[in-house]
Amino acid sequence: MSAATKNGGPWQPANEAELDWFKKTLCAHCLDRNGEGDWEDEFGQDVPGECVLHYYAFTSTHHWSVADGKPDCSEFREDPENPARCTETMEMFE
Amino acid sequence: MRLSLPRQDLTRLLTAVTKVVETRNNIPILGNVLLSVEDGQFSARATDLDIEVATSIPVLDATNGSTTVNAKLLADIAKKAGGDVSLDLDGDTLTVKSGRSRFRLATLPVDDFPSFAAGGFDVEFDVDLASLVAPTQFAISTEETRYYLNGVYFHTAEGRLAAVATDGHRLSRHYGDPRDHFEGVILPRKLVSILPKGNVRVSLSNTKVRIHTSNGADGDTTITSKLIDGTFPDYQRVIPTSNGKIVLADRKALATAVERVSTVATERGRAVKLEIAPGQIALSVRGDAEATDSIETDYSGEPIEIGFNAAYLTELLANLSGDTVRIALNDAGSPTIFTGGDDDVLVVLMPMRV
Repeated sequence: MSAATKNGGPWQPANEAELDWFKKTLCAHCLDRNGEGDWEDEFGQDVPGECVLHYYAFTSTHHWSVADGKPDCSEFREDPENPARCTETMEMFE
Repeated sequence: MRLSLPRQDLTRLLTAVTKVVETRNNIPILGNVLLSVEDGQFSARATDLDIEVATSIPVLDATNGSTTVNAKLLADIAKKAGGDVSLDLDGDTLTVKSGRSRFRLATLPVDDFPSFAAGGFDVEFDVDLASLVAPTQFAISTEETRYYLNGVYFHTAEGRLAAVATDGHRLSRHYGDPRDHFEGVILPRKLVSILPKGNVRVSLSNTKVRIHTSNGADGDTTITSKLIDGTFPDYQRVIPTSNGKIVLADRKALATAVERVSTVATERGRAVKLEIAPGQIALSVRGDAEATDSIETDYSGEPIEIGFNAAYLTELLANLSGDTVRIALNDAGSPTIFTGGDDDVLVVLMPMRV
């Protein structure tokens, strides 16, 4: 994990793969994961909605920091239908 | 293609197949349903390239032909239709009529519709698959990074059919009827969610599964799905065999108490602590506020303290049957076994660090 330096410090993905991992582990469980919702571009193509913070992932991410050694987002709003993985429950297959 | 059929028949046919159609599709043909009439059978087929659902019903006085049309649009029209519905294909336009309503729908070529060649199958048998997997469904992982846990492991264990799902925090196992050994497969979550109720004919190969059900005059439905290409973990080793502290409690009373105390739980602190002592289970949650509650139990051993994720505990208790839940514990850091009224269903839950 690139910038997972110290708790409370800022976090930024080092590359697309890290951003993808972040989206899958945290953003996928956020109510705002689809941003403003799907939209249609000027060519009539459907474009899936996305959280606006993803657009600034490699430039300015004031909302992303390191918490408990892992990347965290201050704007995260958990989807009760699809909660994020509990970090305090012990793992079965470790 | 020309035919007329009761609105209910068309709705039932489309409901069966459109479950598989994704609402967001970059490939337009995947948003379509393939309709065809051949030898007095009206059939509909839809796919998302991983699962294909095909269903058919007998129709009278129909003209052969086939086309593809937007699945959601046709299903919506069928639901709102007033009576019998007639479908008439003229060139690349499908005209749908019902009473005084008339709709003209654009079609896409049948040749563009993906064919889902299933190939051969190695094993075939009849089973009530929906009932077998139902008690395990809640434990299927939603983490894309653990794709091999995004389904139900369908296999044989101890000479019986077995369905197992786990997300690495909880595990649910359901044993079914006796069955000769076959190579275990992982049924994807989407397939599990659309399984027809009752007995079905299951055909298995290394890469695909086919579920066939015949409803007599109401027609046949066949679901063909790719399997999850991965290795399911050796789950047997995480099921404790020597948890000696046995606690019996009223399942609904425990579930209600957990739900009550979790009112004060926060997103970041979802632990419910169980203090199990002779005669009573005391529950407590510490979040922005504190909550305590207790229920009766006939436990008479050494006091134990253990913490669980309240959401996991609530979901687990809701998925067990019977009035009494049997909790088999070892210590605060070990997996705990929960069983209910059905001895064939077993759930393992990992504790929290509290």
